Amino acid sequence: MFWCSRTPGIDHRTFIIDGDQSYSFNEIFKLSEEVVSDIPKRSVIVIESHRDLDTVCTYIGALRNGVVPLLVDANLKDEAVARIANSYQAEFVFGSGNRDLAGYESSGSARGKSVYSRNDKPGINVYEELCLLLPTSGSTGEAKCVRTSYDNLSQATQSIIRYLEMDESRVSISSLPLHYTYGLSVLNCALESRSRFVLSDKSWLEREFWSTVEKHAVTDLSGVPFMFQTLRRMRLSENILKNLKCVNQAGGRLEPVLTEYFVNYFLAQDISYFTMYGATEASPRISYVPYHNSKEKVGTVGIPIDIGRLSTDAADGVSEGELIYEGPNVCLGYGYNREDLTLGDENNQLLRTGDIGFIDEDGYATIVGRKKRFVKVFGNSVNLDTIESMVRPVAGNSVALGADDKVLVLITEGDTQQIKNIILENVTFPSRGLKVNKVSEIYMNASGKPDYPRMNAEFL
Amino acid sequence: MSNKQKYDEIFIEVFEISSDQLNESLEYQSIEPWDSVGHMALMAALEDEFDIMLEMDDIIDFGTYLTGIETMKKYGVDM
Repeated sequence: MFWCSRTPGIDHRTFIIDGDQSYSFNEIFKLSEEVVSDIPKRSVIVIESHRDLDTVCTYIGALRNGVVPLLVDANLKDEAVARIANSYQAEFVFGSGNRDLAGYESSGSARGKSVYSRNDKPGINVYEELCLLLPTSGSTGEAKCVRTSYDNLSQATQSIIRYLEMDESRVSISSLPLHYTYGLSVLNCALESRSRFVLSDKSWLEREFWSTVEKHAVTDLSGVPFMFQTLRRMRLSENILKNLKCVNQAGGRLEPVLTEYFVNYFLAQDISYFTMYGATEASPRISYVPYHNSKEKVGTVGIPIDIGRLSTDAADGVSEGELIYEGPNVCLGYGYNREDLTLGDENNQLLRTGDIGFIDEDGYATIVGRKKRFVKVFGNSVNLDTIESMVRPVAGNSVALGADDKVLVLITEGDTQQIKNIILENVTFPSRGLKVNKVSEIYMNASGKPDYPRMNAEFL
Repeated sequence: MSNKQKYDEIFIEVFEISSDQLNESLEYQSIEPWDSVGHMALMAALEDEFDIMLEMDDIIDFGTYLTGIETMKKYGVDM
């Protein structure tokens, strides 16, 4: 398991670089254990995630001490954090200092984080193999989580570092949030491969991010589609390009023309470029496009990782249908409350992805549509039903539609700006991803349910 | 419409703000819509309107409503 100590000769090497400070694996492990030393094993802790040393140490400390971390977006409001914590009766919340969390009392601090302690201890033991909880739709403050086991996380991480060919010479950077399954996976991969991980809380749009990349000779960059749209306009300096070894993109669909551009751009610099596909439910990787085939397979999400299998639910298993992934990295199941955390594996390694696609003769999958009511908005997975449940109490008859980087709410009464504000109060994805329009009618199908296909065709 | 008016109109449209919310103290991340995603949308809209191609350095330095006016001038847009 990547969070366990290895021989001293390996673990005295540098792991985390934070500004001018660097910390070896041993030092991080020591700091990590101090953070969670007072937390009983098999407790659940909610961690407000920042791209900083405290978050890294709290997360690693939890894994090392048998504590179950639930990582949440730091931008969530107090009510949302409290709702999530109370759903799981989390024993502790590690957050910023000025939180007012119903059911919790401030009980001191650990490193930079304030610790809030639950007033009523649950007395319900969580399943022994439960490792990690991540929200399915983190940007909307929903409590529903994916239950990941120790084996899920370990196996997925090992498989990823095999295809990325990561070893101890690599240097990654926190370009993505740590509560986001892809962002967390970058940290896990650095730890598994015993390579360096540079902390930065800046975006690709900020000069400081790129000066940090250059200063610490970063070799691996990870981004979601929106970040690559930005990168398309940049000329990375020679001092950055000379160190880069691997650039990878996941978290939604990038236009094939941009993928093609990056494949060629990085190939010319002898840098491998990976398109990858996954889901929080797959801890998080399902497939990737091997870099030596990246040119021929532009537009596909590649082949399954080496521990899994990918098929469709069509009769022949490859024609268009829902993509089905099988592998030891498929999560245990979902959770909504504390009782659910006592459950073992409900999935038996089988994941219905909700994505519609087909598989070509070389085994490469292409996604053509979406079955579930989830969309990716600038890298954030958003549940459209959650958006509807925010709107309906105020606006009555209304629906939420969605596509890549777009959530469209249709209302028949009320003020569009007011409804928009109500939603934005409760979500953390960029406001550009949200539109509210007034229509004369919400279309219903024969069974009296919203006719989403018809409205998608007309309004999206 | 003058270029300055077009410039203002783009801020109003891209960020979906009202004209009284538009003022000279607007800067990156001072209002919710002007986040990194909104910023790139603003750049694309300005490029389309004025038929220019902004360099990445200028995109990064475009931190406020006022510095943006200077950037437009640099690209030959008469403000």
